[in-house]
Amino acid sequence: MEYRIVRGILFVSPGKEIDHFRAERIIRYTESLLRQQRFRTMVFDLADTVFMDSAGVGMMIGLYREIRAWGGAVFIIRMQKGIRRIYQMAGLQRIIPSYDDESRFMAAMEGGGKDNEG
Amino acid sequence: MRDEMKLTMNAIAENEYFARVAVAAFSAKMDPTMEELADIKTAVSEAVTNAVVHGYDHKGGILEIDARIEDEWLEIEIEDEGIGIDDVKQAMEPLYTSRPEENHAGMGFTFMEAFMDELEVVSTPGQGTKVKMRKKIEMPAAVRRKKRSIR
Repeated sequence: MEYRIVRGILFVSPGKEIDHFRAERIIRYTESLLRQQRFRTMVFDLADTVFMDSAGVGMMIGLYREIRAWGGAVFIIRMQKGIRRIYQMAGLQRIIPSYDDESRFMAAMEGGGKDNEG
Repeated sequence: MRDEMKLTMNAIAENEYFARVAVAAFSAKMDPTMEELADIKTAVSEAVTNAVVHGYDHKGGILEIDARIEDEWLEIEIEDEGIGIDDVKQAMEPLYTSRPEENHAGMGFTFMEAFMDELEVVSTPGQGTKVKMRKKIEMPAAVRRKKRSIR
């Protein structure tokens, strides 16, 4: 698990496999980071992630709810094919939009403007 | 082809990875596609997580995994001796979770059903739960022909 902050956006790289064991840890760390710093935008960078089960879905929904409390938004970038299947089956696209690459995501953020969230 | 593997382990979160990788490695001799392998891993992970979280409430306990290959069928049984499920039908409903306060999607059984061809859940409250799953791994026609000609 890795975090980086780029222009006020929290990027979370959850690691290779997101199962219940890993998800619990990621939720714990990320929740406290979110609460301390009140990020308006959080991004799951799934470039290295090759496995995700329903615990990963639960993790994403839980953290989405957290950040929604102060009007923040969650995105996914660089999702691999196998994970996309889970993402679609779980209906995550309704709450967490996905972008293929980071530059396209950053461009969309700048184009839309941070305060333009609707 | 017939083959069988039995695994007994402690139902703790740390073992979820080991359980799904072990079953996936066992099924590798059926020559599954990458997608089928991912299906198997996900289904096993869901069943094992249920035992860890619900069956034993994070306290650990005996978890038995029995995997069998019968020709083109992979059969997996995952059994715990935990708390059991009062209402199996309700537990299997999409989005149902007995613990809404925790971060659970309520999609465990939905994923097992989606990724395997058959799913059966037998549970006795106070005694435990057994999840039986089957998946057909079809050999590509070209490989089948080749094997026949070798024989």
